[in-house]
This record gives sequence, structure tokens and C-alpha cells, in this order.
Amino acid sequence: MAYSDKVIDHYEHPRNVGRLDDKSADVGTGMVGAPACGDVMRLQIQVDAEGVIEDAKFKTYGCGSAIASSSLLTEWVKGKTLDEAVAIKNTHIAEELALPPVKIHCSVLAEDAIKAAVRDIREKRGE
Amino acid sequence: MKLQQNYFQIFDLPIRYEIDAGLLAQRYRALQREFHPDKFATRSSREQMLSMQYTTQINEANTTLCDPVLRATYLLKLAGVEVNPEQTTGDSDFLMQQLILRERLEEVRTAADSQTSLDRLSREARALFIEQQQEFGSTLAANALDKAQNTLHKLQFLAKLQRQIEQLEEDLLD
Repeated sequence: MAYSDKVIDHYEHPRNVGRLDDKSADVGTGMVGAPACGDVMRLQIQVDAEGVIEDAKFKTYGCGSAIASSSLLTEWVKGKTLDEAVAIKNTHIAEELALPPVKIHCSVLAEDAIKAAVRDIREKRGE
Repeated sequence: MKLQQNYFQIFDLPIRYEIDAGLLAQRYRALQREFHPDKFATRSSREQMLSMQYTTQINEANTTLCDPVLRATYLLKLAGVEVNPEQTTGDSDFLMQQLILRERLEEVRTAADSQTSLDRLSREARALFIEQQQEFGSTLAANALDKAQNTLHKLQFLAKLQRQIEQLEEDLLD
């Protein structure tokens, strides 16, 4: 199966790989997994007092498409508000990366990860 | 043998997760012999076609029942639960454990004593897999289908981990 240039670029040069302190009150952590392929994704956001995402980090064990989806997502969410971040749809990611139909679930995983991270920070802040 | 039989009935085995692998292998070989297409070479084309269908079904049944993940998926299907392949899971504690295990696997390559680290990881992964197999068997027997499905998810992640460990074992041997 041929990966698009954008997938290969994100796979070979993933942006924002790493971790943030999940104990911090300003950090939201989203952990999701896709049982069918065994992929595991951790996505973290650092959020300022106004609810704007200042930084994002990810760690993904999975195929090229899963890594590219999470890498792209961390680029996209920086500077966005939490509401804007949860509005990102997997279809946007799949379209941007030109994912083939069999790899759409990788973008679903990324969407679920950002939603889980936002839910986590909102719970921490009692929202 | 009838084509409508489920995979357990084909081998005359009880419909449950725990399986007698020796008995399965024995009955698989017996059925393979009985329906082998070579034995039907001189029969009518209808009988030849049937023997082909039986053989395919027997092979599929054996592959499914031998594999711990496929067998669990099949049992859930028999219980009316279709597993959606796109379903994601958010079980944080389990996923965190998976992330740590995958990190350790990554570190094995650069470890001073790769083989020892890999052996340790391999043993741990196998123990976790056995634990979840037992969990699946008991939740399914109790008809706790939601729990059984969650356990199947865990088995899928652990099976992937084991495949990666095996792959690395091969790489290290090269």
C-alpha cells in the first residue's frame, strides 16, 4: 500500500513527540487504543488559563498512518481553544493526509485522543 | 459433518473458550483425512465440490479455534456480539501499561544485554496474555458479554505485543 508524501513526511519527521507532566494541573492527557491493530496513542495538551492550547505532545505505537495522524493533530491544536480542538474531525485529518479507506481508523484514533485529552483537562479544572 | 455446524460442533468440542488443543489437533487430522479432495477424485462432480467445501470449512474452523484471539472473537459472534474493527478503547490504565511495555521493547534494541531484557519482557507478556485468556473464559462463561469484549480488546493488544517481541527475537538472531 502506498503512503502519501504527507504521511511519509510526518512518519519520518514526527512533530512534537514526547511527554508532558500528566500530574500538572495545566496538562490534559488522552490515551486511546485501537484493538484491531493493537495501536496505542497518548496525546497531551498544555492549556493556559484562557483555555488556549500552548503545547501538545504525543507518543504513538502503531503504523505510519497512526503516527502521522497524531503528529499532524499536535500541530493543528497548538494555539486553538479547547472548543476548537474538539471540533476537529477525523475526516479533516484523513483528507489532509490522503489516507486510504483501510487507514481511516487511524484518524479516528487521533480524534478520540484529542477528545479524551480535552475531557481530562476539563475534569481537572472542574468544568 | 454438516456445513451449517459451528466450528466447535465440527470437531465435537464444547462451546467454550478453554480448549483441549490435543483433541482439536487429533480431530482436525481425522476430518482432513475423511474429506480430503484426493479421496473424491473419482466421485461425481457434486461430491467433489462438497468435499472441497468441507475441507475449506474444516481448515477455517481449525485456524479460528487454534488462535486465542480469533477463538474469542468467534465465541462473541456466536453469543450475538459483532466486534466492530474500528472500535477504539479508552481504558487508560491498561493502555498506559501497554505504552510502557512497548517502550521497553523499543529499549531492548539498545540495551547492554538485549537477550536477557527481551527474555524478561517476553515472559511478562506471556503471563499477561494467559491472565487475560483466563479472564475471557470466565467472563464468557458468566455471560458477562461487555466484560468479555473488553477482555478481547486486551488480548488483541497483548497478541500484537507478542508478535513484535517475536519479530525482535528473530532480528536479534540475525
